[in-house]
Amino acid sequence: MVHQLSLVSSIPHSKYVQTISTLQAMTGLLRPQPISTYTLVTKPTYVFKPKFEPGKVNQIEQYYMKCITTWDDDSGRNLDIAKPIIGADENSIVLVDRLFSGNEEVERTWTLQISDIPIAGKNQVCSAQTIYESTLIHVHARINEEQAPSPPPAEPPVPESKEDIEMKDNEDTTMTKGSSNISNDPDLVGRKDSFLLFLDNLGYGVVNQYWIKGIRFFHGDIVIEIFKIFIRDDSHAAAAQEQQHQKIKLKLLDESNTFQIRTYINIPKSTDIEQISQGSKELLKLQDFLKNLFKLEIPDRMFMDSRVPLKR
Amino acid sequence: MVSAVLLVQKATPDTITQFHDQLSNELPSLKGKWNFNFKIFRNNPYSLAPEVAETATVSTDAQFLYTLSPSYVNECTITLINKKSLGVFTNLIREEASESAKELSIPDHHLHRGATTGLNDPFDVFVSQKLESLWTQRQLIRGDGGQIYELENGNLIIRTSNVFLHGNFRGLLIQIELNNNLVATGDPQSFLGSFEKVRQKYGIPEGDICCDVLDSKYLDKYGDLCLQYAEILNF
Repeated sequence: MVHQLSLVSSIPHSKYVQTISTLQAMTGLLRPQPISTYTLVTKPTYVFKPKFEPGKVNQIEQYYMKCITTWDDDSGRNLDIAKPIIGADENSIVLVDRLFSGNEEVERTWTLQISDIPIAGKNQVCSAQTIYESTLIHVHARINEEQAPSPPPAEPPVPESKEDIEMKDNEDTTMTKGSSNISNDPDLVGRKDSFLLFLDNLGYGVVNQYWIKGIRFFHGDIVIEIFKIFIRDDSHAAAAQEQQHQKIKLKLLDESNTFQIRTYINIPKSTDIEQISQGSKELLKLQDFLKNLFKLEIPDRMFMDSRVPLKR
Repeated sequence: MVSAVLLVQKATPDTITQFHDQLSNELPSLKGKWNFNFKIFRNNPYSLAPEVAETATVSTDAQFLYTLSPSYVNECTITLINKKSLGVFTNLIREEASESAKELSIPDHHLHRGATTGLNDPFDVFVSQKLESLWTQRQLIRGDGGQIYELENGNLIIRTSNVFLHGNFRGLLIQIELNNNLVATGDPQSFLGSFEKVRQKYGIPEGDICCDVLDSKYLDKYGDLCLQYAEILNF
């Protein structure tokens, strides 16, 4: 469990160099740590209909869950976020490898994360929320022997939607490349889409995905992250390029090339009042110190609500 | 390692001490103490498949999620859903892990690239805190006072533990692990014979034994172990 205190901001692309230099000087960290992640947004596949009894408060909720892993293919490693990404420019195309194609050498690690809505209240100095996460290092799903001959083994039933992608990719790759490139190593075959199957059995289905690339600085207990968010390019032209390269084409979520900034402190226990008040003070100090560079603000907690609305 | 789990339900203090004496006569190397937690979750009946959500109020099918956390694998939770889907979760980052625990740890780059905060919860806690709408905990089975015996130059490990269900003693659990070279790994059907031989050789009391595997083509040390616990600790 993590209790996270945070403040957010954003800067236009033109202020990137100045911001980076200032942060380098302030933190003394000349080489900020690169961050690159790939996130699947998942939602429970089942409908939750608790029994409502008068006088009884029902506290159980359904939550969206993030499944986070590293974005570490060639594009993830080589992408330079200091360069603006312009949609029409041939040189700035971002193409990422498909996951779940079953030809990865090492098993992928996934972090499952569910966060509470930030704490409500007046006179807050920063956003405070509790995050629960657990990291999966190995999955293995038994594929029933009777079903084995059919090529896509028991795929998670995910609602048809534009964003829902991985499943189709999966089919594409199996169909276009055939079984030739899937090695006979039982290790790989067993692993192929075990993670999606595991999620399905757990009761979750994929609804969306995004990629994050950026850097981070450390200042005392504070982590300062500057990053861009990418989503899959659904346009017609992108489909042709994807076909050509057998990869997924990305575009910026915010095509103005704006950088997102997030500053946060992680506190292991939400009951540690002393550390929380100390942390909020630290964040306030940072907010004041950087006020001429960018304005750190409290994000709107309503947009950070991860609960699935109940159907009655 | 191939494992089998055996539960002696009618164990009395006498049989337990007698068995420990017998094993000590074989001059095993003692590898310390251990314990485990085994939790059984059932699907929340108010969570309904979309097709029946309009008509039904409670779900009639029963699904189970098991979590096993043995203390001899550091900060690790093995989970099995419906006896077919396995996941191994851990809190340990590789750079912090001791040499022996490196195998089951989170790779460093997963933390460094920002995919985890590094402050993980054990999976059973995660499920009971945040997935309550999907899974509700039904049983907590604890294993206490466990001993680890290593025999035959490390090729055979016997772990014993007293099993408690909600605080009541339910028997003596014996976990037998054989090195891969002592069994025909290609033929899981033959495991029962191999374990039966070990049982007789070391005078292990009789009881329900389980050495089933998840996938006969692809042995999975932790998955198979969790499946065996799920089959045996079924009160």
